[in-house]
Amino acid sequence: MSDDHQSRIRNFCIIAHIDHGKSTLADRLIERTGAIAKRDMADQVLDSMELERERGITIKAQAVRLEYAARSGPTYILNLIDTPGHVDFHYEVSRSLAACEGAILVVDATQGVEAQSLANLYLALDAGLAILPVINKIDLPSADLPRVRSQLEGLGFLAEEVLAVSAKEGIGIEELLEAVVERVPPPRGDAAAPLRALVFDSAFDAYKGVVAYVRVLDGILRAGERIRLMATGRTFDVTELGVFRPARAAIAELSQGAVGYLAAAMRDVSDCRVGDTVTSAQRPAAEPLPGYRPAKPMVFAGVYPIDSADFGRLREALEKLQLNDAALSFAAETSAALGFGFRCGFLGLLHMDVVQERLEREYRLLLITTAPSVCYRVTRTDGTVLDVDNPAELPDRSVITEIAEPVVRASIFTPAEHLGPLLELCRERRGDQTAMEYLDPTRVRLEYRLPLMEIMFDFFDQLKSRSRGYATFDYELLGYEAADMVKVDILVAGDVVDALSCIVHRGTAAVRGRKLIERLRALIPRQQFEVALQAAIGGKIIARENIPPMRKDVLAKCYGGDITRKRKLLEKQKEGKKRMKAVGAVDIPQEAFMAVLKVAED
Amino acid sequence: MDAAASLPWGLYVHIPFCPYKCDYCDFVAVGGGRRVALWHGPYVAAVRAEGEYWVGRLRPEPPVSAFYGGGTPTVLPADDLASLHRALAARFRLPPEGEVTIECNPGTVRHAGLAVLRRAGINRLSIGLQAVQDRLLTALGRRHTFAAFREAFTAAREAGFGNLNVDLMYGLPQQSCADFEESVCRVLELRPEHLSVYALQIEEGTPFHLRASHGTLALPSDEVAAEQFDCACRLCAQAGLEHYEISNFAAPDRRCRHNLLYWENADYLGLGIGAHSHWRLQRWANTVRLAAYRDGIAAGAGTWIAEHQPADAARERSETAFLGLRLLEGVDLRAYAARHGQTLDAAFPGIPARLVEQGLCRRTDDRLALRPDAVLVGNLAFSAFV
Repeated sequence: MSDDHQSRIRNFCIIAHIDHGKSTLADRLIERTGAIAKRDMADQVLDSMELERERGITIKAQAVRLEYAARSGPTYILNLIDTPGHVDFHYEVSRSLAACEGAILVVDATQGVEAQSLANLYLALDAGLAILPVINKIDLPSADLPRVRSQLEGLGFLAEEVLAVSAKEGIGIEELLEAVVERVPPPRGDAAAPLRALVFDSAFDAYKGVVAYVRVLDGILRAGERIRLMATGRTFDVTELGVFRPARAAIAELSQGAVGYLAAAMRDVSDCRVGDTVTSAQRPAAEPLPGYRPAKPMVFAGVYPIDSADFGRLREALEKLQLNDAALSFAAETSAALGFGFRCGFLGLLHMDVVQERLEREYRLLLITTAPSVCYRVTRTDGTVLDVDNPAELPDRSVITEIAEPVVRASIFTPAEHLGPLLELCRERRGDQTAMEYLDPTRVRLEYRLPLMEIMFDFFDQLKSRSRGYATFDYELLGYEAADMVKVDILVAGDVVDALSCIVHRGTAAVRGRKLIERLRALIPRQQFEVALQAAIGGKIIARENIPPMRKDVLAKCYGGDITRKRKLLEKQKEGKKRMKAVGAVDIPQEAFMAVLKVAED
Repeated sequence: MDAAASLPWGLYVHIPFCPYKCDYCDFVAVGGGRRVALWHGPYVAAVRAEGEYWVGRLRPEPPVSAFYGGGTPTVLPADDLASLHRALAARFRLPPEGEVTIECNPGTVRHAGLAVLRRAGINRLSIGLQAVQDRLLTALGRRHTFAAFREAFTAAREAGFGNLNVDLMYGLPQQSCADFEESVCRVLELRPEHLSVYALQIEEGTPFHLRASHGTLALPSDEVAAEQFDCACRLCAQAGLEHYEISNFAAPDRRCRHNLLYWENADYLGLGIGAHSHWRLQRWANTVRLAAYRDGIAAGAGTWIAEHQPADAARERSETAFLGLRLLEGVDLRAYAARHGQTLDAAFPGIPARLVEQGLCRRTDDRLALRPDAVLVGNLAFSAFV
């Protein structure tokens, strides 16, 4: 492809808060560029997906190639690149943005600017992208254009830059496509330079192996060529190159500026990490593209099979999940209370939920997951530094000189009327305010430094409840800061249950310990005998509660010989018990291990 | 495994009619005078036809007992009940010494009617009282008084019933320990041969369930309910009634033969809507709908059966175990091994020993039984066998 061709390529993405209409807008762009005629759209896309499914091919179109005949005459190739929407996937978003020259910022005409749209906007600005602010849903009666326009102007956009569309009704789509052509700069790659292509996403397919979604920056990527991944150093032969239009179509080459996918018989997503640079094995580039970061788990939790015989199956399931989830880490560990299991690392709480659910649903494992913890950096008296991601492994205080905890930069958007309670919440969570600005008289943006651990303690629920659901929130990791942390141990029937230990700030330790015990008393069902619950810091008991013994659990009436019903009741009861982990003589349900997350407030 | 062929069996007849429905009841029952009047003739005819069907199909040995349960069977005219029983007793060759129970509620029985039933061969009456305090009866949605119960009890004795059961309930809303103690004392003063003491269970779909889910039902704590139950055990022992099953107390030789069949996992044949049967390792249950039952009986070929479970030896081994543990004397281990072709320990490896270790059961050479102090947490032991 010549430089002339490159001048007719536009690579862009859509950034939006959830539910602001990103996918509807994408559908409309695909439809309007005639990639598929409108009436056939659903059918064709579905047909092609159906076919792929039959073949066992499950990869999705992370980037769609559109052809648009501009009013000025020439036909442009518009590559629309998808970005993950959730805060857990900050780094992945940043790599998708790095594959673009422009971004459409979609704001809902009825909702206005939200935390997620802002967080992604800042990322896009950091990546040097041209931004096209678009107000969507202008057809809705509750649309408030003047307010949203003024919010966007408050963010530094010019009034004439802002486009107004209704993706649902197809209003303003043509104007938007023209703006993409005019305002998103073309790629500026060097065709003669050695190949450099950015991996901005990847997926695992049972037939093709890992499929990498790439943006070629310099040079030309050809089918059949031998490539090297610069971060991992591994080499592969390209077995297939292609684009999505949106149906998958194989092509012979991708030249500078182009976006597509490649398959190269890569067996494991760790072979091909998001952010890595693809180069030619014969003529490698001198420098990889900037910005690569190995996937880094932020939160850690113990994952244990309820039935210890399932340990091997759990290991196999984790290995399989890791094939297409490079951010998941795991290492075998042992808990005195829970037996053999794994300490798993996740990007965030959502990622943790997803993994746990997949393990239970797809691999039919019954699991106990401990409360998530962050990774603490512990400096010992001998000067050595230890990363502690399992509270039970925190060394004795006498050998610790300092504990540092991860802190994040949190952005919160809220209607001004709820500001007070949110300031209070951030103060309770040891937050340091770094910025506060009014976007307009009714909306405020807050920026805080907050300990990562504090936002795991039901922060999101509190944020929502204290703002009647209106506040939104996003965060990114800043680094480590020293903090006065202590370990709270929980004793059940006199024995420390290591899996219930947690690391908390000294200032709130006593209160949290007490609340945790109260909560555990409510969550652990009555047992045959009385069970004592205690919280202790460094061997000193700070709280105690007793679970009274079970007094009554028997089916009284035998209804006309209906034994089946009796049996079902007993089976149900037994099923419930199977979901619990027997720790000593006490059956502890999964919720109890998560109780620590819910004790911050009442 | 054909030992089941020689099991004793009992005949159950479900009479689903009630003058009204109590607020805690989820039994198969249809309330209201008009529906009873409309349906009782066709229903009794259908039950007789179902009896004929099974006699012809199963050719059963004579049963050891018969039980007319409800609903409130005695809302039907006594003459109709008498002729129904005479017909079934003749067709099934019920022996004259066989135990024949009918359930009734105070207010639905008079001396004359009871005498008719007694003469027809019904020899045991089970009276649903539940509590002696009229305010508690009202709170349960029952429309009789304690005085009406005493009249019914006296009328039954005068009609010649020498074997009477009374049902009481504990764990009722607003029921104190003293209330329950009073109930037990007042009933024992009348010297019934048998007393059933049931914990209130909140069943889905009942008015009580609705109120409980709204938090407007003042239920006593488990501690209070347990104390009430202990009180019943103490008072019955003093009165010479033996605690022989979780909820049942009886004078010597007055255990309920029919209910024992359920706990011994023996056979029974249920006639009528919602009735359950256990026959030669199979279980089935009839439809709970009157019209479907009538039409099914007319169509024949078992079309009124709503659920059927084929013979399943593993299920039987489990049920013999957990049902048998409901009896205070426990599971007869030798009989168990003879019946199932393997010992309880072989069928459930490690379980009996674990239950003993947990303090739930005690074991002698030939029996595994609940410990008396574990009766109220019996499910902990039962569920080990499912």
